[in-house]
Amino acid sequence: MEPVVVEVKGIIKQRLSLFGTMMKTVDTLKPGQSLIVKSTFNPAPLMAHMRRKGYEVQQEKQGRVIITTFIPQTSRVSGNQSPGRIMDIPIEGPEHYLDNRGLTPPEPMQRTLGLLNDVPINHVVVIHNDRVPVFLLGQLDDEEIPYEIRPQEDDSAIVRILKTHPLRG
Amino acid sequence: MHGVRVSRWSLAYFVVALLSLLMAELLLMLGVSDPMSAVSAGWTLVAVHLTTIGWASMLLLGALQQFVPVLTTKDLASQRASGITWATMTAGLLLLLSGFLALPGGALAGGRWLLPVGGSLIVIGVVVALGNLGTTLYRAWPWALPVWFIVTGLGFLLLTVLLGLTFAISLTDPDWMSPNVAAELFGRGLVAHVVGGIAGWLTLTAMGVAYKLLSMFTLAPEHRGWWGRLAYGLTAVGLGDIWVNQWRVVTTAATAGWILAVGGITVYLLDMMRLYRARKRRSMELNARMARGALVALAVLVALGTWARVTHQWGRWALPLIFLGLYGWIGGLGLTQLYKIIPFLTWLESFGKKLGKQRTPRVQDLVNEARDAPAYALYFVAVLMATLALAFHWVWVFRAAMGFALVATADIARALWRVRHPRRSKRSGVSSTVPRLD
Repeated sequence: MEPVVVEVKGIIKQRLSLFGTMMKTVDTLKPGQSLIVKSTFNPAPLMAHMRRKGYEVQQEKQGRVIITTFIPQTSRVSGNQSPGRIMDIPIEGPEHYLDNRGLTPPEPMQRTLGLLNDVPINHVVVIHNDRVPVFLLGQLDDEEIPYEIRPQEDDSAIVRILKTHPLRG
Repeated sequence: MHGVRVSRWSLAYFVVALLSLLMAELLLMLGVSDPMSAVSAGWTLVAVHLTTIGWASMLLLGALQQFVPVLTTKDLASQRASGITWATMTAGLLLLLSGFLALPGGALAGGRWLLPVGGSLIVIGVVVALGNLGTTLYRAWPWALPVWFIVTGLGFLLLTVLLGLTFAISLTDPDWMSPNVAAELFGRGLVAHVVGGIAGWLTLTAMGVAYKLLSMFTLAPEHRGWWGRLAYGLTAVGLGDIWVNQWRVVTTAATAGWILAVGGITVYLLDMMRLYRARKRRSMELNARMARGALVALAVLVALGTWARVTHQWGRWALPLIFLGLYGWIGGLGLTQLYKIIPFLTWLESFGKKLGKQRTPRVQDLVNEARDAPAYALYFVAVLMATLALAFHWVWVFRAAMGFALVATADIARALWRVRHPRRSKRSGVSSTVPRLD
């Protein structure tokens, strides 16, 4: 799949909102599609956002231009692995971010399920926990709610949960 | 599958464990079981095995039914096998205890079959547990550091119960083996039984469990680096060496084992200090605060044990040190961690499904730390007092200390019972300790 290439200079020349345009571009990315951003500055906020979404970030410098490549991580770990059922559902949709780091069990689970109950169907709850929240995932398995885990280098884990239906309980 | 479900059987294990501890403390307080004057008497063996199998082993096995899935992010291979282990171990323990009382001169007449049948049931329970936990662990290769501690501990458990069964058969039928072999078995074999059980099974497993549990609940880094690997390597190799060389007349090799094991546990204790210092959660909950008492007991055990061995005073200090290991280190760690584990599992069972739909209490709301903290302080003071009493043969002080330990344990058991059965207000019918769910 061809990557989407964005030249920041062109956006600025057209006097478009850089943030708004970038976010729109990110939303149009297809599963597995990479994004290449060419800029004369380090796009740190975009890098943080894309990392949270589970993209790997690579950078190289060509003269004054910084080329930042966002590659979707292929080592995706999905939750319920019943064949052909939940695995195939891409975890995509408007995102709601929850930083659960620094909270001891079961507070992360409490906050996550609370938010998951509140968000509309087909929205994604993205949580960042100090550890893989094994009891929460057990509950999501029971509820047949799809999720994907992205282990981070610092042992924390980002879990993306797609609300496909109201929680049954 | 990465999610983990609540173990169906862990709480049943904990009930047997707590009842066994209370019973053992009662027997020691009343002087019915008297380790100072008659270590091998039937009632003393009852108290010893209530403590080692009933309390410590059932506690750790119950914890592992939940803990191994958490460590491996794999569901337990079989919940049914978990129940089978609980049933066979509980029945086996009851028969074994009755068997001790049926020994010649004991309180029960007849019943020669009780010891071997009880011992066999315990071995069956352990083998089923090993199969169940082993299958779960096998699916989770490569293993994290705490798993290595647990796997090695489980290996020692098998050796210990097999030796125990051999003792049970030999006590029932003394002609089963030649007098020379019997002398070896009840000499070196008994030491191997104690070392394998208390140091190999209970201590190694508790070390691994504490690494994970305390880092989880204090938000400390889980990866222990070379400190953790060194602690495991030295302790496991050292204890293995002691166990093997206990059967041979090679004291140098056994001494090397002691040095390695002491070195390993020392590294572990230093690493636990690092873990506590590196925690993100500055304000600790009762279980983490009081667990330091158990770690101090382990440190005292290592220091006194080394001193006793170097000064050739092992004969005098062996009993107090075994007591300190069982009640101070394992018992202290178990009681403190139950104070977090039982509310946590209860919360998951009772409120997990209601999350997001209605107001739910926090785990801390299920207990009253200010009310329950003195019981833990009393327990550790009582254990220290009893250890000293055993060392200096202060019989009445020992019995009084066991009385204090019994009161403290009963109060902790009461607090844990209240978690499962919150008191209900007569007026509203709503629990006074758990906030309303509406």
